[in-house]
Amino acid sequence: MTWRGNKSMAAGAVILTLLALTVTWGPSLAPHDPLRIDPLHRLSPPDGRYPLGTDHLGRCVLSRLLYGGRISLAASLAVSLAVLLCGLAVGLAAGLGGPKTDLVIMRLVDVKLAFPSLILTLAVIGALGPSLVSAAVGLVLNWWPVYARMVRGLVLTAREKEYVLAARVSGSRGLRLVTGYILPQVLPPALLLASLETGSLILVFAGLGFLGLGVQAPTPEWGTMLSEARHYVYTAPHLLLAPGLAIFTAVLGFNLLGEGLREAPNLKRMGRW
Amino acid sequence: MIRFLLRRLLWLPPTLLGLSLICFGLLQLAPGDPGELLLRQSGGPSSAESAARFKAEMGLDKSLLERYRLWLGRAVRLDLGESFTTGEPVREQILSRLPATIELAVTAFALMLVTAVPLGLLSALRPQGWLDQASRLLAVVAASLPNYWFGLLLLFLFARVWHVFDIVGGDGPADIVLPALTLALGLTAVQSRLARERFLTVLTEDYIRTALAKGLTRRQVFLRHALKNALAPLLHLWGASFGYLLGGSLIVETVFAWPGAARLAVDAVLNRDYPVVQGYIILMAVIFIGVNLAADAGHALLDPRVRQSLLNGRS
Repeated sequence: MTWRGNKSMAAGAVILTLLALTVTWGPSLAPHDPLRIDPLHRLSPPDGRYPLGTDHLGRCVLSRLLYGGRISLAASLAVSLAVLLCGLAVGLAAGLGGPKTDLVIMRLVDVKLAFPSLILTLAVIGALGPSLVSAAVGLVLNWWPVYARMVRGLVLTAREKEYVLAARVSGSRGLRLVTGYILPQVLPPALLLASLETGSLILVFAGLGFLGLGVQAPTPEWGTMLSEARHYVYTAPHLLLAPGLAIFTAVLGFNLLGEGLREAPNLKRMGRW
Repeated sequence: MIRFLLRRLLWLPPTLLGLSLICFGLLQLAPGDPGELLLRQSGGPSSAESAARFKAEMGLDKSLLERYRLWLGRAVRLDLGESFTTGEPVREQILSRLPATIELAVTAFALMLVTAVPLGLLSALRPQGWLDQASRLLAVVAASLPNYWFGLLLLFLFARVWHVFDIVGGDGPADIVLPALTLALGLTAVQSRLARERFLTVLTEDYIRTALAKGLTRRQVFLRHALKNALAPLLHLWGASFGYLLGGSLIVETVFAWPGAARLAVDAVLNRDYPVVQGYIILMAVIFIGVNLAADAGHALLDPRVRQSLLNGRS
């Protein structure tokens, strides 16, 4: 591992650990109820009582930020995990299911990749109606093909390795062959891709919230907080700062981690995907 | 070349069929009843009778297969139906907003080209030099910036603090600067690194060493051999990046109140205006496929190896 990769990975890990701790202990750190309205202190700048000020309804921005992070991050992580699992399942099926299955699956993946993912996510949200669940479903349905294609490629390579052949000859079949011999080859690059993709999923998920297509008011979420703050760019610009910075920090953490992992030599050997 | 294009064109019908199924199928799964929703929104009485009349008018009382057949028949003639909310033809509605979206996407794309390519090139000429390191850091930061936040910050700085731009959503030449900058940001970050990688690969190729050994100057080698070979595969990536621009326009048009088709689509989703959503998705997908086809054709034109490998069936 190079020194540079090491450093950026460490920075990413530190950022993510701090963020995870903050968000986990969020409810006990929050000074107020994130949903409580204080009509006398609307759009007030930061002070002793409200450390980050209040929004247009007089709700505590810091509390909303701490609670909102739980939703933004948990939802993005859950989506990322679901995408990884779907991609693994489909990719393994294509790589191990024989030429006909492979052809059908990969053609489907090709058709799916021929369209911009965000536009199709919009279609899913259009069908299900804007909500946290439909945003998450839309993202999962549209993000797996990239993983599937990569996993399938790795499986095809791993399948021909001599020790896999040896395992097959000595009687390993089915699940045992997959979990014992093929998955260890496939998992590290897939996890690397997942760490890079989690960053962009956080961006997109909060972006959907920003457009009003994801998490709905009054639930606090970083994207929706920005969407509410947008109407007060001129009167209360301090509202913009906290949620945007929070999203940026989280994404930066994952991107630095991924960037560092990419430099790791044992992953580099696995080639491009 | 013609055979290559024909092969690529053969892929169009199944892809478009897949698109139509995805579009139609998803919007059929929708739980809400748009007829009732419309009447409720217009404040009119939501009697069973008027809802039924509306459904019949919109063709919502027919069977699924029948509706798909009717819809497909009209869709291939680009007749995308009428909007649930305004009653206007969807095609006209989207087409009237499309130029603004295209204008924004093309400007952002041009911005990306003039920054990402030189940056990638200069980084590749001195790998691990200060410029390479700086642009690497910049790329990670820019790729992590939410474009909706970046746009709002720009808006605040330029309109509120510096008073450079006064009106949001106008159509003067200066008004496109901030939206285009916002849209180009993330793309430039990614593409400058990809360009660097391409230039690095090409500069270590044997034919570059041969050309240098022949006694050509670095400039000659660069302009005659390296540039063309580095740009060819980048064309393919640029085509694919167009999807990012279309997706990004959803956000940028909302931030800057840009009167484009993407904002129309977001509003349509919020209002459950299915025909407009469908129309938008179909049109964007067709544009995206067209752009990619053109980019790949350009790639093949510049690089005979690509033509050959595709004709041999390895796509």
